[in-house]
Amino acid sequence: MNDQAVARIERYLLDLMDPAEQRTFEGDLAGDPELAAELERYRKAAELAGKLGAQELRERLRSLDSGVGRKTFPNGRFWWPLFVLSAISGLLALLIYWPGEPTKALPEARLPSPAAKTQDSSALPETEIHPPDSLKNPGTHKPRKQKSEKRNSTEAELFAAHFVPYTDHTMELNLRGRSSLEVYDRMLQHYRKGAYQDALITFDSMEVRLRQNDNSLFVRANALMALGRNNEAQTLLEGIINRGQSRYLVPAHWYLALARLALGQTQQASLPLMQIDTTQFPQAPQLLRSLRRHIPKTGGSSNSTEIN
Amino acid sequence: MKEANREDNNQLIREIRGGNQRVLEVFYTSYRKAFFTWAGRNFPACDEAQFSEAWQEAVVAIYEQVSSGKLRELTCAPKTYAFLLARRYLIGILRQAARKDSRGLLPEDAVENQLAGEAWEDPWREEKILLDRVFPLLGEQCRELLQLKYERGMSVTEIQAHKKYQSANVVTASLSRCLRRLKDLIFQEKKEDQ
Repeated sequence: MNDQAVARIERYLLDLMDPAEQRTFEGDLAGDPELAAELERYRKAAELAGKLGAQELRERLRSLDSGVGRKTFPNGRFWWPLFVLSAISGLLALLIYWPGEPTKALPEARLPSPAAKTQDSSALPETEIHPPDSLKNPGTHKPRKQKSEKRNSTEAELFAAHFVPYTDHTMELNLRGRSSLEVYDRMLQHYRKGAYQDALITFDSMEVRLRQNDNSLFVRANALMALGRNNEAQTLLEGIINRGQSRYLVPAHWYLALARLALGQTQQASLPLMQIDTTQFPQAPQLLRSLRRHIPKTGGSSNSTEIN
Repeated sequence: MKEANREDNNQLIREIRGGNQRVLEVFYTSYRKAFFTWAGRNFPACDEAQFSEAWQEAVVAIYEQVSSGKLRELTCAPKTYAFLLARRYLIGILRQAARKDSRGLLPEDAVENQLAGEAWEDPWREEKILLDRVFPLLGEQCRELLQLKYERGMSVTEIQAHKKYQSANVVTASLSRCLRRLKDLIFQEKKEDQ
Protein backbone atom coordinates (compact mmCIF):
# COMPACT_ATOMS: atom_id res chain seq x y z
CA MET A 1 0.00 0.00 0.00
CA ASN A 2 1.62 3.26 -1.10
CA ASP A 3 1.67 6.47 0.96
CA GLN A 4 -0.79 8.20 -1.33
CA ALA A 5 -3.40 5.49 -0.88
CA VAL A 6 -2.91 5.52 2.89
CA ALA A 7 -3.29 9.30 2.93
CA ARG A 8 -6.57 8.98 1.03
CA ILE A 9 -7.89 6.41 3.50
CA GLU A 10 -7.00 8.66 6.40
CA ARG A 11 -8.61 11.70 4.78
CA TYR A 12 -11.72 9.60 4.17
CA LEU A 13 -11.95 8.40 7.76
CA LEU A 14 -11.25 11.84 9.20
CA ASP A 15 -14.15 13.30 7.16
CA LEU A 16 -11.77 15.61 5.31
CA MET A 17 -12.89 14.76 1.77
CA ASP A 18 -15.35 16.92 -0.08
CA PRO A 19 -18.35 15.07 -1.56
CA ALA A 20 -16.80 14.75 -5.04
CA GLU A 21 -13.53 13.37 -3.69
CA GLN A 22 -15.48 11.03 -1.46
CA ARG A 23 -17.49 9.68 -4.41
CA THR A 24 -14.32 9.07 -6.42
CA PHE A 25 -12.71 7.28 -3.49
CA GLU A 26 -15.74 5.08 -2.94
CA GLY A 27 -15.76 4.29 -6.65
CA ASP A 28 -12.09 3.29 -6.50
CA LEU A 29 -12.76 0.92 -3.63
CA ALA A 30 -14.89 -1.32 -5.85
CA GLY A 31 -12.03 -1.91 -8.29
CA ASP A 32 -9.19 -2.10 -5.78
CA PRO A 33 -9.55 -4.93 -3.25
CA GLU A 34 -6.23 -4.07 -1.61
CA LEU A 35 -7.43 -0.53 -0.94
CA ALA A 36 -10.75 -1.87 0.36
CA ALA A 37 -8.99 -4.31 2.67
CA GLU A 38 -6.72 -1.61 4.06
CA LEU A 39 -9.72 0.68 4.59
CA GLU A 40 -11.38 -2.13 6.53
CA ARG A 41 -8.36 -2.39 8.82
CA TYR A 42 -8.44 1.37 9.39
CA ARG A 43 -12.18 1.19 10.06
CA LYS A 44 -11.61 -1.46 12.67
CA ALA A 45 -9.03 0.84 14.30
CA ALA A 46 -11.46 3.79 14.22
CA GLU A 47 -14.18 1.61 15.72
CA LEU A 48 -11.86 0.58 18.51
CA ALA A 49 -10.80 4.20 18.97
CA GLY A 50 -14.43 4.92 19.79
CA LYS A 51 -14.07 2.62 22.79
CA LEU A 52 -10.90 4.08 24.23
CA GLY A 53 -12.87 6.15 26.73
CA ALA A 54 -14.60 3.03 28.01
CA GLN A 55 -11.26 1.26 28.25
CA GLU A 56 -9.75 4.19 30.12
CA LEU A 57 -12.64 4.05 32.58
CA ARG A 58 -12.26 0.29 32.90
CA GLU A 59 -8.57 0.70 33.76
CA ARG A 60 -9.37 3.36 36.33
CA LEU A 61 -12.06 1.22 37.94
CA ARG A 62 -9.62 -1.67 38.11
CA SER A 63 -7.08 0.55 39.80
CA LEU A 64 -9.77 1.66 42.25
CA ASP A 65 -10.47 -1.99 42.97
CA SER A 66 -6.82 -2.62 43.61
CA GLY A 67 -7.14 -0.23 46.52
CA VAL A 68 -10.14 -2.05 47.99
CA GLY A 69 -10.13 -5.15 50.16
CA ARG A 70 -7.39 -7.13 51.83
CA LYS A 71 -6.75 -9.43 48.92
CA THR A 72 -4.94 -6.66 47.08
CA PHE A 73 -2.38 -6.15 49.85
CA PRO A 74 -0.81 -9.55 50.17
CA ASN A 75 2.44 -8.61 51.86
CA GLY A 76 1.32 -5.51 53.65
CA ARG A 77 3.73 -3.12 51.97
CA PHE A 78 0.94 -1.07 50.44
CA TRP A 79 -0.73 -0.46 53.77
CA TRP A 80 1.25 2.64 54.62
CA PRO A 81 -0.43 4.95 52.05
CA LEU A 82 -3.80 3.89 53.47
CA PHE A 83 -2.55 4.60 56.95
CA VAL A 84 -1.34 8.07 55.86
CA LEU A 85 -4.66 8.75 54.10
CA SER A 86 -6.62 7.67 57.16
CA ALA A 87 -4.50 9.89 59.36
CA ILE A 88 -5.04 12.87 57.02
CA SER A 89 -8.80 12.19 56.88
CA GLY A 90 -8.89 12.02 60.66
CA LEU A 91 -7.05 15.32 60.98
CA LEU A 92 -9.34 16.95 58.43
CA ALA A 93 -12.40 15.67 60.25
CA LEU A 94 -11.03 17.15 63.48
CA LEU A 95 -10.35 20.49 61.79
CA ILE A 96 -13.80 20.62 60.23
CA TYR A 97 -15.75 19.65 63.30
CA TRP A 98 -13.68 21.10 66.10
CA PRO A 99 -15.01 22.74 68.24
CA GLY A 100 -18.44 21.79 66.92
CA GLU A 101 -20.30 18.59 67.64
CA PRO A 102 -17.67 15.85 67.54
CA THR A 103 -20.12 12.99 67.04
CA LYS A 104 -21.50 14.20 63.72
CA ALA A 105 -20.79 12.11 60.66
CA LEU A 106 -18.40 13.26 57.98
CA PRO A 107 -19.83 15.43 55.19
CA GLU A 108 -21.77 13.50 52.59
CA ALA A 109 -19.89 12.23 49.58
CA ARG A 110 -20.94 13.22 46.11
CA LEU A 111 -23.15 10.17 45.87
CA PRO A 112 -24.98 8.77 48.84
CA SER A 113 -23.58 5.73 50.58
CA PRO A 114 -26.03 2.96 49.87
CA ALA A 115 -24.87 0.19 52.17
CA ALA A 116 -27.31 0.86 54.95
CA LYS A 117 -30.30 1.04 52.66
CA THR A 118 -29.90 -2.30 50.94
CA GLN A 119 -29.55 -4.81 53.71
CA ASP A 120 -32.92 -6.44 53.74
CA SER A 121 -33.96 -7.61 50.35
CA SER A 122 -32.83 -9.37 47.26
CA ALA A 123 -34.88 -7.02 45.15
CA LEU A 124 -33.00 -4.48 43.07
CA PRO A 125 -32.53 -1.50 45.36
CA GLU A 126 -33.92 1.94 44.60
CA THR A 127 -31.93 5.02 45.45
CA GLU A 128 -31.17 8.37 44.00
CA ILE A 129 -28.35 10.66 42.88
CA HIS A 130 -28.35 14.00 44.63
CA PRO A 131 -29.08 17.14 42.61
CA PRO A 132 -25.98 18.88 41.25
CA ASP A 133 -25.62 21.91 43.43
CA SER A 134 -26.07 20.09 46.65
CA LEU A 135 -22.94 18.22 45.71
CA LYS A 136 -20.64 20.97 44.63
CA ASN A 137 -18.87 21.70 47.92
CA PRO A 138 -19.25 18.78 50.28
CA GLY A 139 -16.34 20.06 52.32
CA THR A 140 -18.19 23.23 53.26
CA HIS A 141 -20.89 21.45 55.24
CA LYS A 142 -20.58 22.37 58.89
CA PRO A 143 -22.78 21.37 61.80
CA ARG A 144 -23.24 24.97 62.91
CA LYS A 145 -25.04 25.83 59.68
CA GLN A 146 -27.67 23.15 59.78
CA LYS A 147 -30.55 25.53 59.12
CA SER A 148 -28.96 27.05 56.05
CA GLU A 149 -27.93 23.58 54.89
CA LYS A 150 -31.52 22.45 55.10
CA ARG A 151 -32.58 25.49 53.14
CA ASN A 152 -29.88 24.89 50.51
CA SER A 153 -31.05 21.33 50.17
CA THR A 154 -34.62 22.53 49.56
CA GLU A 155 -33.34 24.99 46.99
CA ALA A 156 -31.35 22.24 45.30
CA GLU A 157 -34.45 20.05 45.26
CA LEU A 158 -36.53 22.84 43.77
CA PHE A 159 -33.85 23.46 41.18
CA ALA A 160 -33.63 19.77 40.30
CA ALA A 161 -37.41 19.55 40.05
CA HIS A 162 -37.64 22.45 37.62
CA PHE A 163 -34.46 22.58 35.60
CA VAL A 164 -34.60 21.08 32.15
CA PRO A 165 -32.31 22.67 29.54
CA TYR A 166 -34.39 24.85 27.25
CA THR A 167 -35.34 23.66 23.77
CA ASP A 168 -37.89 24.85 21.25
CA HIS A 169 -38.49 24.78 17.50
CA THR A 170 -36.00 27.61 16.89
CA MET A 171 -33.26 25.23 17.95
CA GLU A 172 -34.15 22.57 15.40
CA LEU A 173 -31.39 22.09 12.94
CA ASN A 174 -31.56 23.14 9.35
CA LEU A 175 -29.49 20.25 8.16
CA ARG A 176 -27.86 20.85 4.85
CA GLY A 177 -25.73 17.72 4.82
CA ARG A 178 -23.04 16.84 7.28
CA SER A 179 -20.17 18.58 5.51
CA SER A 180 -21.92 21.93 5.38
CA LEU A 181 -23.08 21.95 8.98
CA GLU A 182 -22.33 25.38 10.38
CA VAL A 183 -20.56 25.84 13.68
CA TYR A 184 -23.66 27.31 15.31
CA ASP A 185 -25.71 24.33 14.12
CA ARG A 186 -23.08 22.00 15.50
CA MET A 187 -23.25 23.72 18.85
CA LEU A 188 -27.05 23.28 18.83
CA GLN A 189 -26.62 19.68 17.75
CA HIS A 190 -24.35 18.94 20.75
CA TYR A 191 -26.70 20.89 23.01
CA ARG A 192 -29.79 19.03 21.88
CA LYS A 193 -27.99 15.71 22.27
CA GLY A 194 -27.19 16.67 25.86
CA ALA A 195 -23.44 16.87 25.16
CA TYR A 196 -23.16 20.16 27.02
CA GLN A 197 -19.38 20.14 27.39
CA ASP A 198 -19.05 19.66 23.66
CA ALA A 199 -21.59 22.44 23.06
CA LEU A 200 -19.43 24.79 25.13
CA ILE A 201 -16.30 23.77 23.26
CA THR A 202 -18.04 24.42 19.96
CA PHE A 203 -19.30 27.75 21.27
CA ASP A 204 -15.70 28.75 21.98
CA SER A 205 -14.75 27.90 18.41
CA MET A 206 -17.40 30.22 16.91
CA GLU A 207 -16.49 33.61 15.51
CA VAL A 208 -16.70 36.61 17.87
CA ARG A 209 -19.92 37.96 16.35
CA LEU A 210 -21.74 34.71 17.10
CA ARG A 211 -20.21 34.39 20.53
CA GLN A 212 -21.57 37.82 21.45
CA ASN A 213 -25.04 37.08 20.11
CA ASP A 214 -27.60 36.91 22.92
CA ASN A 215 -29.33 33.87 21.41
CA SER A 216 -26.05 31.95 21.38
CA LEU A 217 -25.33 33.17 24.89
CA PHE A 218 -28.69 31.88 26.05
CA VAL A 219 -27.83 28.38 24.78
CA ARG A 220 -24.42 28.69 26.45
CA ALA A 221 -26.07 29.70 29.73
CA ASN A 222 -28.30 26.62 29.62
CA ALA A 223 -25.36 24.35 28.86
CA LEU A 224 -23.46 25.87 31.78
CA MET A 225 -26.42 25.25 34.08
CA ALA A 226 -26.69 21.67 32.92
CA LEU A 227 -23.05 21.27 33.97
CA GLY A 228 -23.68 22.88 37.34
CA ARG A 229 -21.83 26.12 36.46
CA ASN A 230 -24.68 28.30 37.66
CA ASN A 231 -22.58 31.29 38.61
CA GLU A 232 -21.39 31.82 35.04
CA ALA A 233 -24.90 31.16 33.74
CA GLN A 234 -26.34 33.77 36.07
CA THR A 235 -23.98 36.47 34.75
CA LEU A 236 -24.85 35.62 31.15
CA LEU A 237 -28.60 35.59 31.78
CA GLU A 238 -28.53 38.93 33.62
CA GLY A 239 -26.75 40.44 30.61
CA ILE A 240 -29.29 38.94 28.20
CA ILE A 241 -32.21 40.36 30.21
CA ASN A 242 -30.58 43.79 30.57
CA ARG A 243 -29.95 44.10 26.84
CA GLY A 244 -33.43 42.83 26.02
CA GLN A 245 -32.52 41.73 22.48
CA SER A 246 -32.72 37.96 22.63
CA ARG A 247 -35.57 35.93 21.22
CA TYR A 248 -35.24 33.96 24.45
CA LEU A 249 -35.95 36.94 26.70
CA VAL A 250 -38.88 35.33 28.56
CA PRO A 251 -37.14 31.99 29.11
CA ALA A 252 -34.05 33.92 30.24
CA HIS A 253 -36.09 35.14 33.25
CA TRP A 254 -37.08 31.61 34.15
CA TYR A 255 -33.54 30.28 33.88
CA LEU A 256 -32.10 33.23 35.79
CA ALA A 257 -34.48 32.38 38.62
CA LEU A 258 -33.34 28.74 38.53
CA ALA A 259 -29.65 29.68 38.40
CA ARG A 260 -30.06 31.92 41.44
CA LEU A 261 -32.03 29.19 43.16
CA ALA A 262 -29.22 26.73 42.54
CA LEU A 263 -26.79 29.26 43.99
CA GLY A 264 -28.88 29.53 47.13
CA GLN A 265 -30.06 33.09 46.36
CA THR A 266 -33.70 32.39 47.15
CA GLN A 267 -34.73 36.01 47.54
CA GLN A 268 -33.13 37.17 44.29
CA ALA A 269 -34.50 34.09 42.51
CA SER A 270 -38.04 35.30 43.05
CA LEU A 271 -37.46 38.64 41.27
CA PRO A 272 -37.30 37.40 37.66
CA LEU A 273 -40.23 35.09 38.41
CA MET A 274 -42.35 38.12 39.25
CA GLN A 275 -41.68 39.57 35.81
CA ILE A 276 -42.22 36.42 33.82
CA ASP A 277 -45.02 35.89 31.29
CA THR A 278 -46.99 33.06 32.90
CA THR A 279 -48.62 32.05 29.64
CA GLN A 280 -45.20 30.79 28.53
CA PHE A 281 -44.16 29.56 31.97
CA PRO A 282 -47.32 28.48 33.81
CA GLN A 283 -45.16 26.75 36.42
CA ALA A 284 -43.68 30.09 37.53
CA PRO A 285 -46.37 31.02 40.11
CA GLN A 286 -46.03 27.69 41.86
CA LEU A 287 -42.26 27.99 42.04
CA LEU A 288 -42.63 31.54 43.34
CA ARG A 289 -44.97 30.32 46.08
CA SER A 290 -42.49 27.58 47.02
CA LEU A 291 -39.69 30.13 47.14
CA ARG A 292 -41.66 32.47 49.38
CA ARG A 293 -42.12 29.67 51.86
CA HIS A 294 -38.34 29.36 52.10
CA ILE A 295 -37.29 33.00 52.09
CA PRO A 296 -35.97 33.89 55.55
CA LYS A 297 -38.37 36.18 57.41
CA THR A 298 -35.58 38.63 58.22
CA GLY A 299 -34.93 39.10 54.53
CA GLY A 300 -38.05 41.24 54.26
CA SER A 301 -38.92 39.68 50.96
CA SER A 302 -42.37 38.42 51.86
CA ASN A 303 -43.95 41.30 50.10
CA SER A 304 -47.34 41.16 48.50
CA THR A 305 -46.20 41.59 44.92
CA GLU A 306 -48.17 39.27 42.67
CA ILE A 307 -47.08 37.96 39.38
CA ASN A 308 -49.20 38.59 36.35
CA MET B 1 -42.06 14.78 43.34
CA LYS B 2 -41.96 12.24 40.53
CA GLU B 3 -40.50 14.93 38.30
CA ALA B 4 -37.82 15.59 40.90
CA ASN B 5 -36.97 11.89 41.07
CA ARG B 6 -36.67 11.72 37.31
CA GLU B 7 -34.27 14.65 37.41
CA ASP B 8 -32.25 12.92 40.13
CA ASN B 9 -32.17 9.72 38.11
CA ASN B 10 -30.79 11.54 35.12
CA GLN B 11 -28.21 13.61 36.92
CA LEU B 12 -25.61 10.89 36.39
CA ILE B 13 -26.40 10.81 32.67
CA ARG B 14 -26.07 14.57 32.43
CA GLU B 15 -22.71 14.48 34.18
CA ILE B 16 -21.38 11.76 31.87
CA ARG B 17 -22.61 13.62 28.81
CA GLY B 18 -20.90 16.70 30.13
CA GLY B 19 -17.62 14.80 29.97
CA ASN B 20 -17.38 14.05 33.68
CA GLN B 21 -15.99 10.52 33.96
CA ARG B 22 -15.04 11.12 37.56
CA VAL B 23 -18.68 10.91 38.62
CA LEU B 24 -18.73 7.28 37.48
CA GLU B 25 -15.70 6.49 39.61
CA VAL B 26 -17.51 7.92 42.63
CA PHE B 27 -20.64 6.00 41.67
CA TYR B 28 -18.59 2.81 41.27
CA THR B 29 -16.96 3.13 44.66
CA SER B 30 -20.11 4.26 46.45
CA TYR B 31 -22.21 1.26 45.48
CA ARG B 32 -19.53 -1.39 45.14
CA LYS B 33 -19.99 -2.75 48.65
CA ALA B 34 -23.77 -2.81 48.31
CA PHE B 35 -23.47 -4.68 45.03
CA PHE B 36 -21.14 -7.26 46.54
CA THR B 37 -23.58 -7.80 49.43
CA TRP B 38 -26.50 -8.15 47.06
CA ALA B 39 -24.62 -10.38 44.61
CA GLY B 40 -23.30 -12.55 47.44
CA ARG B 41 -26.87 -13.35 48.41
CA ASN B 42 -28.17 -13.88 44.90
CA PHE B 43 -25.21 -15.46 43.11
CA PRO B 44 -23.58 -17.80 45.63
CA ALA B 45 -21.97 -19.76 42.78
CA CYS B 46 -19.88 -16.74 41.75
CA ASP B 47 -16.76 -15.51 43.51
CA GLU B 48 -15.63 -12.00 44.44
CA ALA B 49 -13.45 -11.63 41.36
CA GLN B 50 -16.54 -12.23 39.23
CA PHE B 51 -18.57 -9.74 41.26
CA SER B 52 -15.82 -7.23 40.74
CA GLU B 53 -15.72 -7.86 36.99
CA ALA B 54 -19.50 -7.65 36.74
CA TRP B 55 -19.67 -4.38 38.67
CA GLN B 56 -16.90 -2.86 36.53
CA GLU B 57 -18.56 -3.92 33.32
CA ALA B 58 -21.93 -2.57 34.44
CA VAL B 59 -20.46 0.86 35.12
CA VAL B 60 -18.48 0.82 31.87
CA ALA B 61 -21.65 -0.22 30.02
CA ILE B 62 -23.50 2.80 31.42
CA TYR B 63 -20.66 5.02 30.22
CA GLU B 64 -20.76 3.46 26.75
CA GLN B 65 -24.52 3.64 26.48
CA VAL B 66 -24.60 7.29 27.48
CA SER B 67 -21.63 8.23 25.28
CA SER B 68 -23.14 6.55 22.25
CA GLY B 69 -26.51 8.20 22.87
CA LYS B 70 -28.28 4.86 23.39
CA LEU B 71 -29.11 5.77 26.98
CA ARG B 72 -30.65 9.20 27.20
CA GLU B 73 -32.98 8.87 30.15
CA LEU B 74 -33.44 6.57 33.12
CA THR B 75 -36.81 5.81 34.64
CA CYS B 76 -35.23 4.10 37.63
CA ALA B 77 -32.35 5.02 39.91
CA PRO B 78 -28.90 4.65 38.26
CA LYS B 79 -27.97 2.21 40.99
CA THR B 80 -30.90 -0.06 40.11
CA TYR B 81 -29.93 0.08 36.45
CA ALA B 82 -26.28 -0.69 37.21
CA PHE B 83 -27.32 -3.64 39.42
CA LEU B 84 -29.48 -4.93 36.58
CA LEU B 85 -26.59 -4.75 34.10
CA ALA B 86 -24.20 -6.40 36.55
CA ARG B 87 -26.78 -9.09 37.23
CA ARG B 88 -26.96 -9.84 33.52
CA TYR B 89 -23.19 -10.05 33.41
CA LEU B 90 -23.17 -12.57 36.24
CA ILE B 91 -25.87 -14.52 34.46
CA GLY B 92 -23.63 -14.65 31.41
CA ILE B 93 -20.76 -15.94 33.52
CA LEU B 94 -22.97 -18.64 35.04
CA ARG B 95 -24.23 -19.69 31.64
CA GLN B 96 -20.71 -19.99 30.31
CA ALA B 97 -19.67 -22.02 33.33
CA ALA B 98 -22.70 -24.27 32.93
CA ARG B 99 -21.82 -24.95 29.30
CA LYS B 100 -18.21 -25.76 30.14
CA ASP B 101 -18.88 -27.85 33.23
CA SER B 102 -19.08 -31.45 32.07
CA ARG B 103 -19.08 -32.79 35.64
CA GLY B 104 -22.50 -31.40 36.33
CA LEU B 105 -21.43 -29.13 39.19
CA LEU B 106 -23.37 -26.35 37.57
CA PRO B 107 -26.05 -28.13 35.55
CA GLU B 108 -27.36 -25.91 32.80
CA ASP B 109 -30.96 -26.63 33.82
CA ALA B 110 -30.37 -25.26 37.30
CA VAL B 111 -28.80 -22.12 35.89
CA GLU B 112 -31.62 -21.77 33.40
CA ASN B 113 -34.12 -22.07 36.23
CA GLN B 114 -32.34 -19.49 38.31
CA LEU B 115 -32.04 -17.09 35.41
CA ALA B 116 -35.26 -17.78 33.59
CA GLY B 117 -35.80 -15.77 30.46
CA GLU B 118 -32.48 -13.96 30.51
CA ALA B 119 -30.49 -13.86 27.31
CA TRP B 120 -27.01 -12.49 27.65
CA GLU B 121 -23.57 -12.91 26.26
CA ASP B 122 -20.75 -10.46 26.05
CA PRO B 123 -20.38 -9.66 22.35
CA TRP B 124 -17.35 -7.44 23.00
CA ARG B 125 -15.25 -9.97 24.86
CA GLU B 126 -12.66 -10.31 22.10
CA GLU B 127 -12.57 -6.58 21.59
CA LYS B 128 -12.04 -5.94 25.28
CA ILE B 129 -9.11 -8.34 25.35
CA LEU B 130 -7.65 -6.52 22.36
CA LEU B 131 -8.17 -3.14 24.00
CA ASP B 132 -6.54 -4.39 27.19
CA ARG B 133 -3.41 -5.19 25.26
CA VAL B 134 -3.34 -2.22 22.92
CA PHE B 135 -4.41 0.56 25.29
CA PRO B 136 -1.16 0.88 27.28
CA LEU B 137 0.88 0.90 24.07
CA LEU B 138 -0.90 3.94 22.70
CA GLY B 139 0.40 7.27 23.98
CA GLU B 140 -1.79 9.44 26.18
CA GLN B 141 -1.95 12.21 23.58
CA CYS B 142 -3.02 9.75 20.90
CA ARG B 143 -5.69 8.26 23.15
CA GLU B 144 -7.12 11.67 23.89
CA LEU B 145 -7.16 12.79 20.26
CA LEU B 146 -8.75 9.57 19.04
CA GLN B 147 -11.36 9.74 21.79
CA LEU B 148 -12.28 13.30 20.85
CA LYS B 149 -12.67 12.31 17.23
CA TYR B 150 -14.23 8.87 17.36
CA GLU B 151 -15.99 8.78 20.71
CA ARG B 152 -17.21 12.33 21.09
CA GLY B 153 -17.53 12.90 17.35
CA MET B 154 -15.71 16.24 17.27
CA SER B 155 -14.59 17.69 13.98
CA VAL B 156 -10.96 18.61 13.33
CA THR B 157 -11.81 22.31 13.88
CA GLU B 158 -13.49 21.54 17.19
CA ILE B 159 -10.51 19.51 18.34
CA GLN B 160 -8.23 22.36 17.30
CA ALA B 161 -10.24 24.80 19.44
CA HIS B 162 -10.55 22.37 22.34
CA LYS B 163 -6.89 21.44 22.46
CA LYS B 164 -5.74 24.93 21.40
CA TYR B 165 -3.67 23.66 18.48
CA GLN B 166 -2.22 26.35 16.21
CA SER B 167 -3.64 24.90 13.03
CA ALA B 168 -6.09 22.30 11.82
CA ASN B 169 -3.25 20.67 9.86
CA VAL B 170 -1.47 19.76 13.08
CA VAL B 171 -4.66 18.07 14.33
CA THR B 172 -5.11 16.19 11.05
CA ALA B 173 -1.49 15.03 10.98
CA SER B 174 -1.62 13.93 14.63
CA LEU B 175 -4.92 12.11 14.17
CA SER B 176 -3.61 10.32 11.06
CA ARG B 177 -0.47 9.26 12.89
CA CYS B 178 -2.45 8.02 15.90
CA LEU B 179 -5.01 6.13 13.85
CA ARG B 180 -2.21 4.46 11.85
CA ARG B 181 -0.44 3.54 15.09
CA LEU B 182 -3.62 2.03 16.51
CA LYS B 183 -4.26 0.08 13.32
CA ASP B 184 -0.69 -1.24 13.30
CA LEU B 185 -0.96 -2.25 16.95
CA ILE B 186 -4.26 -4.06 16.40
CA PHE B 187 -3.12 -6.04 13.41
CA GLN B 188 0.30 -6.73 14.87
CA GLU B 189 -1.50 -8.14 17.93
CA LYS B 190 -3.79 -10.19 15.73
CA LYS B 191 -0.85 -11.60 13.75
CA GLU B 192 0.82 -12.64 17.00
CA ASP B 193 -2.37 -14.43 18.00
CA GLN B 194 -2.51 -16.46 14.81
